[in-house]
Amino acid sequence: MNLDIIKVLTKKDINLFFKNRFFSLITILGLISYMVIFFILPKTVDENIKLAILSERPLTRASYFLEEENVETLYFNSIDDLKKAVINKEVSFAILFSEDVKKIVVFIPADVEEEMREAYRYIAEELLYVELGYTLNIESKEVVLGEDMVGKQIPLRKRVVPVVTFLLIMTETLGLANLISEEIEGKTIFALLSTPVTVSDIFISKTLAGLITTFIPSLIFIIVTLGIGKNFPLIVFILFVGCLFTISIGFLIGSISKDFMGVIGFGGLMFVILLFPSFNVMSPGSFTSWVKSIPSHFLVDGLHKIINFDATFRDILQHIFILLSTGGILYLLGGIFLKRRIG
Amino acid sequence: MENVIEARNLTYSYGKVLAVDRISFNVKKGEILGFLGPNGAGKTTTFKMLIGLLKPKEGDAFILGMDIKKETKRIQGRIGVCFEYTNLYEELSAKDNLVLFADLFGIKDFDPMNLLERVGLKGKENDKVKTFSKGMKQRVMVARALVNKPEVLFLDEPTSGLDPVSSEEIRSLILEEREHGATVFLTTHDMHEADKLSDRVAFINKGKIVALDTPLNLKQKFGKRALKVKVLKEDGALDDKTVLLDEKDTPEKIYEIFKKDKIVTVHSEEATLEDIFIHLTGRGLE
Repeated sequence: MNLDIIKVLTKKDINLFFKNRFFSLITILGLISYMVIFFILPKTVDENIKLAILSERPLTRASYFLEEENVETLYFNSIDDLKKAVINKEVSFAILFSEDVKKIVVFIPADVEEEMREAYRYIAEELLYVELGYTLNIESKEVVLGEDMVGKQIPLRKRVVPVVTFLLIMTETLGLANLISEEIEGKTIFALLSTPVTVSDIFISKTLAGLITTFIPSLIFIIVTLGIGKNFPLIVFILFVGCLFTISIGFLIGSISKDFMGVIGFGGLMFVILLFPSFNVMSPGSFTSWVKSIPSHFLVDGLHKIINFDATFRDILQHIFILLSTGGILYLLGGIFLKRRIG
Repeated sequence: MENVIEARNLTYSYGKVLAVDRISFNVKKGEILGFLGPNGAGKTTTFKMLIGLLKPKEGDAFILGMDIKKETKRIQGRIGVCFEYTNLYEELSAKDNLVLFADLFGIKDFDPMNLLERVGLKGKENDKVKTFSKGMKQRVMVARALVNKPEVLFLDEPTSGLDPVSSEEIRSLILEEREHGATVFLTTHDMHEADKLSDRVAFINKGKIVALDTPLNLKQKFGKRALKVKVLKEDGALDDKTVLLDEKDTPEKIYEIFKKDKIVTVHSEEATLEDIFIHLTGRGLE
């Protein structure tokens, strides 16, 4: 290992990365557009349920109950208007009471998850129960475990940060994969290896170039969107580990791809698979626990926990371990493929 | 004179296919050795073993007195390599390609312009290599091989696919380097190039060296000299007659032709390296 050689090779790789118009353009455009998306997204969460009601007979006990529970309620006179309010998402859901107030129909927007549909139906049934004058002879108590998030739910823009950071890192990783693929296909690797440059020098310099091209843009994004808060050192740490992990993916893609199209093809496939855990962060419960078997989960989830739940180093220790060990395996695989291709 | 390149029973196989079969040869300081053979004969495999890109399966090679298996990186710091295929950084300029390799060799105060001028690329130094013709790229490749002022130059088919002008310029450069004391190992399947440049040529066929000597000695040993005479026949048509020299009845045959026929042209003809290669191996060089 020769530090001077590594410095020269790293400089060369970064130079070539930015000479590739496609990757330099998507680096800059991606960074700017992700920042714009962040600032466009709402910074607060509307936690209130808006209810629409249509009842020919005025409700008495139910409306008193709704008032007491601070539920914003809109009353409608026509069923068409009631349905329109649900479809246009002006309300969370709607209840149509029958003339004798003994039957109800609950209208729910099409994109509401199964669990929420059931919850809305229970609310509607309870309202009917109250209106009919029944009381349950039971006692219930609410105990919040952990920090009570009422009034401080995670806004979409903060949920989006780990996802976008991952997108940014992955995009840059494809640029690195392209550099590796070009080095092999253009046979420049043989020109390097016929000088005092060793295979380790090439590996280390590519890793450094990869770190610079993935870590710096993602760090800029974090600083611009979240600022430098008390969690910043831990964010930087997991970002660094995450970049090492994605660089190992870049090595594998670069070692098996024959050209730019190969990089885009293999990279695109990897990109899609590795993106699944992000959806889980954006919309919890949308995927089952199998997404945890995708290693990128530990980068996105780790970032999510630090940014949105003030997780400590101890909380993300498992994440770090899995990212590093998976990265190590992928590096090894990339090395095997690279060795096969350069003979 | 000291041996700069020394190969002893050098052997390499790709799986079960034996590419180079126990070849041995020496190249002395300041000498140009032409390694001549058809495609697939084992030239490039030998080349790759000598520059340290392939590890010999058997045998040894010493460059500048150092073992290529043990001191690969030290050797590579003192040699220049030009590959058969173009492997330049196409997005970089000619100048940046040379500076990059100078930096890798740790050369301070490197002047790329001097080299680019020597290969006839002055004024093109800042152009991206991807905009160059094949001949221009090959010149950059040769210039790159000279960046570290190498004591030994390894050139794999340096003029392959080039126009005559570019080929001639590259040949001049090789001879210039030899004048400056460099030793040259040149693989080629171009017999004229080998003949023009090499002090000695080695014929390689199916992984084995079948002959190794100076071009003149090889021609004298294996070739046949002849006299080609174009004569005008009585009906006005031209006829070619060939008289082999060095035969017992050669003088009589020549006398007969000159006496009976009307001579149009007379040329002496000597065997080419390709003739000799065919004679030795039963196959051509292409």
